Amino acid sequence: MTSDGHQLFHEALDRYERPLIRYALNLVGQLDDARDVVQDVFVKLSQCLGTVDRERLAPWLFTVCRNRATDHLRKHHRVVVMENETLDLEEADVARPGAELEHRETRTVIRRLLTQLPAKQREAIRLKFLAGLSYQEISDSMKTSVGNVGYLIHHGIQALREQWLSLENNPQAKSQPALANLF
Amino acid sequence: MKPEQLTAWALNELTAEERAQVEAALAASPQAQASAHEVKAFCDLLNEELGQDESSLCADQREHLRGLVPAQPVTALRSIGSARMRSLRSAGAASSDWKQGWWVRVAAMAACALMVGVVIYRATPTKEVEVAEASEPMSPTLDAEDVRVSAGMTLPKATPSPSKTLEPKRESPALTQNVVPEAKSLPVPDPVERADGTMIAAVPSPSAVKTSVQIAPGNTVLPETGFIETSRLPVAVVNMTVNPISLSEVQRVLASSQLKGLRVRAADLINSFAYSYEPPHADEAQPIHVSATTVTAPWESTHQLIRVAMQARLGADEVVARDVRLEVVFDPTQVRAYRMLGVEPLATAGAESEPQGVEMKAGQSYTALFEVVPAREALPKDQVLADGAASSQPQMRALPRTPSTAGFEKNASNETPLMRVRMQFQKPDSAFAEVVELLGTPKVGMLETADADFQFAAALAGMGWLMAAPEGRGPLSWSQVKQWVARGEGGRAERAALLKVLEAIPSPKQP
Repeated sequence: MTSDGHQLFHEALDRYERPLIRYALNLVGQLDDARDVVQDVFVKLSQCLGTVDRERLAPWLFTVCRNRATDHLRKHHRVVVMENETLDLEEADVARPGAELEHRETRTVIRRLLTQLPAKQREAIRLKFLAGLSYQEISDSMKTSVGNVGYLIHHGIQALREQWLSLENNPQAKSQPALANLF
Repeated sequence: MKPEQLTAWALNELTAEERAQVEAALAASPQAQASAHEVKAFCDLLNEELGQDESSLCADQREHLRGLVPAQPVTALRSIGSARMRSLRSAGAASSDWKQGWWVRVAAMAACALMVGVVIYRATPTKEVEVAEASEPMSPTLDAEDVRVSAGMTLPKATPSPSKTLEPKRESPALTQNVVPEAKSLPVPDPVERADGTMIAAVPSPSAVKTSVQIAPGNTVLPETGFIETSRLPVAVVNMTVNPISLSEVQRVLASSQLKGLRVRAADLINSFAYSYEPPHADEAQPIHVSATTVTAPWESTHQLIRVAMQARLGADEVVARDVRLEVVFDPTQVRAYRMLGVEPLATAGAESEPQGVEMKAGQSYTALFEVVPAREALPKDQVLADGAASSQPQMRALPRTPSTAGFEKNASNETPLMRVRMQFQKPDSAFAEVVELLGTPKVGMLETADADFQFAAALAGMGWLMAAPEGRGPLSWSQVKQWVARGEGGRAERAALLKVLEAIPSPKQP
């Protein structure tokens, strides 16, 4: 193993561990599963260090992560994923400081709204806000143009914002159960 | 100005030039400016709510991942060991065994009456699978299908995998598959929460082969794996799933080239016979005793042959352990390369091909044979798995470390162990997995002086060699194999039957 490969791997682990976990968690719904998926991603990276294109490392990581998460869901015959959102709501019943409770509720609602977006918009939003990728990196990962990425993200944000504002005016709707088909 | 530009501006995705243009436009329009700030505020909300989750890998997962790409693998392993030397000294039974030089014990003689019986199984034909080079190059245009993680790759996880019953001692057309309930009903402790942690390393699959050797059209004996360099992949995870093979099938393979599609896997053949290894001691809590013995490889005097033997305790005909898994970690300073004998490509690609834990019933045994190249010896030419092939092999969830886990420091006898053997299992009435670990010393004996079971298992491995490479290998010959079988026969009917098969075929038909 070259020192370059060693450095690349460890830098990637430091830089992308949490973004990958966030992204995988949104896909598979369970933290343990997300960890397994991300672990597999880095194992895969360790095998590909000799051929890795450093300039496209982030898109590659998230593409592998998406594929691995998809495989995981297929393997476990899970298409509908709601555990995470449900868990968040359940945990919200525990006595917590008001601000934290509100924060958790907000996050839960946003995640629920995210699952209601069209698939490509949803994926672009995930890669932008969960993974923290740039438009160019999202373009590489989704195999579409940067311009289209901008279009998808813009319309995705617009849709989320409209839904969010409507919920602000109808707070009870926020507590609706989260059931979403992720794929 | 396009609406998308406003969003891109809010997300800081514009070039300097584009940004200047947008901001100039915003400055000229208070309405657009207000709209832009609303979009930016919502983007900030999304960033805060979606991008600030600090969930991460388990500490031990991360540690293991870091171990996958060590700057200096040998040094890294040694440093791990040094940091854990103290815990080794206070270790439990496995470590105590090590101090006593326990592992050269002759494995034999425990009561295994329940395991008597001629093993006549019908092997489940396995598909021949070409080893794919799964290390996809990084292409500029990423293809989602091309960058899938290798099939069969698994790593530590909190949920148990389905178990397969290891039942090589009774007539059955196939292994019994017993799907363990989901984690909620039979959870394995989350490695994060365990005090002993989990160590993950790149794992060579026992399914790794370079080529398959055709004995005759449609009648294939799969060769051994290529050697895997220990410095690259120090952990070997054993696929304990057994596809029992009947004597009649062995006979047909030896005598005929008429059958189509028959495969013989030496590991299956070895584990189709009963052995009498040392059972768990009376004071051992675990239901399975694991031991390791090293001899000089009879077909290559510069190599060593290691047997890892597992023996379930006696008792009623009951399952004594579920999700039994086995892995061997070789010390790169002692072992240059290794391979597990008698394995073949997994039958199918995909997640279902992952090595899985097995069930063991009272009295059952399991045997794994490894051929290792000592560090002082050169790598065998043309027998080492290429980097790509080795690294692309499926990987498996590594077993949690025990508190006694240590590196490869010298013991009280100033010996450095060759390897660590880890066995994980779950008692039927327990919701938790347990791990037993032992260290194998570098003491090497001769096969001829080893116990009969070892000689018999080596004979079966040798049969695999000779069936795959009829021209022989080194001093290995059919007469030698028959001699070992005779020595290892031990009055067992099924072994005597095999010997008869061999004797009836003075010169097995060369393909």
